[in-house]
Amino acid sequence: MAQTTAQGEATATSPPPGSDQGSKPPRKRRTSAFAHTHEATFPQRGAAFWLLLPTVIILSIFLYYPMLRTFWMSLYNIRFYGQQRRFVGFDNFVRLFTDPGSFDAVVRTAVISTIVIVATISIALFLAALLNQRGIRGARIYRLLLIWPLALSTAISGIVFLVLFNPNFGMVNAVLAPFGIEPEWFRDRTLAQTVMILTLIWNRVGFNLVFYTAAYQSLPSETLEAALVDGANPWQRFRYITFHLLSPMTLFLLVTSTVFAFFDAYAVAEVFGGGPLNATSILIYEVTENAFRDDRIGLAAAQSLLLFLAVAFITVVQLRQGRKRVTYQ
Amino acid sequence: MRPKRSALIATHVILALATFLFLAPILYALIKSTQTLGASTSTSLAIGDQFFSNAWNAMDRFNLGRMMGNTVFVTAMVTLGKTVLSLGAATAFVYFRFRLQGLAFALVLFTLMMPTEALIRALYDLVGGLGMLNSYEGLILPFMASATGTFLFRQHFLRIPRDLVEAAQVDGVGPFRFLGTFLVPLSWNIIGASAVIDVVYMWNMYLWPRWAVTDPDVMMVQVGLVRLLSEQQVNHYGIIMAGAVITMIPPLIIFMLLQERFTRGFALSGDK
Repeated sequence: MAQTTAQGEATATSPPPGSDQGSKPPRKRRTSAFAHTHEATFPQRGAAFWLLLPTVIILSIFLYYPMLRTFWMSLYNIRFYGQQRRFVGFDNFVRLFTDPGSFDAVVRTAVISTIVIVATISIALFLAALLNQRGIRGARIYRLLLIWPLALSTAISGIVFLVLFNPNFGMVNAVLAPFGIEPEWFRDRTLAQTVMILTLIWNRVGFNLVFYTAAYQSLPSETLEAALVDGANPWQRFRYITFHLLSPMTLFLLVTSTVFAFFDAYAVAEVFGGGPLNATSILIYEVTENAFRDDRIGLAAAQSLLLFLAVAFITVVQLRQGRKRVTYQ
Repeated sequence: MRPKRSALIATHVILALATFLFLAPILYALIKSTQTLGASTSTSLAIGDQFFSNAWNAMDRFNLGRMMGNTVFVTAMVTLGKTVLSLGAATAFVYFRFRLQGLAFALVLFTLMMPTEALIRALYDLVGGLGMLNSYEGLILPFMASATGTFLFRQHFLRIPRDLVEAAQVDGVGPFRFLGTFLVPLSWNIIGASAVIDVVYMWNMYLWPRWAVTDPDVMMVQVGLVRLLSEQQVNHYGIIMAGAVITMIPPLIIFMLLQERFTRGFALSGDK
């Protein structure tokens, strides 16, 4: 029994922020999370009300209300900026997948996001693994330099890359020119998407690296030393132990990276103007075009909800995995 | 056991290469920011002497100075607000038992998966209805509450020994004073960690400020810089890059100040 508790506590101690596998480990604990009446609490319930009130008010007004409102809008065909509306049920959602233009945007977003998510997480994990070996001199300096791109907002990263890949005076073509390659990066759909993906990866790896580094520092050294005694080679130690111990962090970063690829990528799409021929027009960019320019608020709402559902799905997967993950403790 | 010498060298080569690739765009921006109009639109990589003139132009003539101020102000207010509100909410969840506590907790939990950006049009209509478009309130209020912060602090409070509450109560310390004089001083590492997350989040924010604000006096700097470029108000890339370079400064300062706290904030684990 004592052991179980200790394990629960150990799990609860190194949570990635916002993920919540730390905050509510096994299901059993969760239901009883508010039932440890034996633990000392304050009897002044009025105080709890005031402490919680601001959070509840802000979340209700600025998240829950717009959420419900978005659901409502997605069921209507809204024209003339709200002047005219007609109930259409799930037609907007059907359109997402049947209208060729809309469906292309869905596919495009899925492809670009998947590449960005997988690349940012694996590159960050790889760098964190290198940096956290013993005896790497200057690891701190490498780390500080590697997270520098994080200081540039995504929009500004987009601007820098736009200049970097400029076909006339950009650095990239200046380097490639002697080899006889001078791509017109922003005239070709695939090339423009490539630059967008590179921008997003470059901008985000640092974020994931910071979190992996933090996770590395709370790895139980006994487990790793035991593996060393057992004669596991570095790759085996990483593959079978470290990777598993880091899996809650990986799941957490999966969620944050998805949010990044779905929503923060908007800034890059706008800097690139969504083009050429909609190549960089990912769903969230389509949402704003439909909601603010093209007078298709209902469709925009349906597109938003698709993104929301994808994030919700991944979050739920994360929470479930977080509960039954391997801990080796 | 230390890695073998050859492995060590390979590691350094890979790390140096990665560092170079990650730094190159920033170095490029730094170099461009020092160049004259002519050089900035050529492939030249010569370091010029125009940085201060470019920076001054960006800040003054194109109003980016004011916009930087706006961004710093909004980021500071949101970070402060989020910290205070989530400390309060976490205290309510950990140190009290009340009816519907589970429901309230679930309500906060669920917002983890509700990105504001997905609600853009509805939020725009709402904030417009409240008359807060083109205002600081419109940029700050929607982001004041934080599920992430609440969980982080709740997690941390659950690790603090309960004897402390009992001792406080024996001494007649009420909940608010307990929060201020006991919990906050015990939570600086976590406050630092969550502040870093908040600052990065606000600094990266683009979608909402881009639509919620059109008045250059309230505009955030990321939005202003993209506008300069897309509306072709400037074709001097030295000025654009100088603007980009200046926006890096505040987050870099925060990283340097808070990096240790940040790492420690998450490393405070039971196995140490």
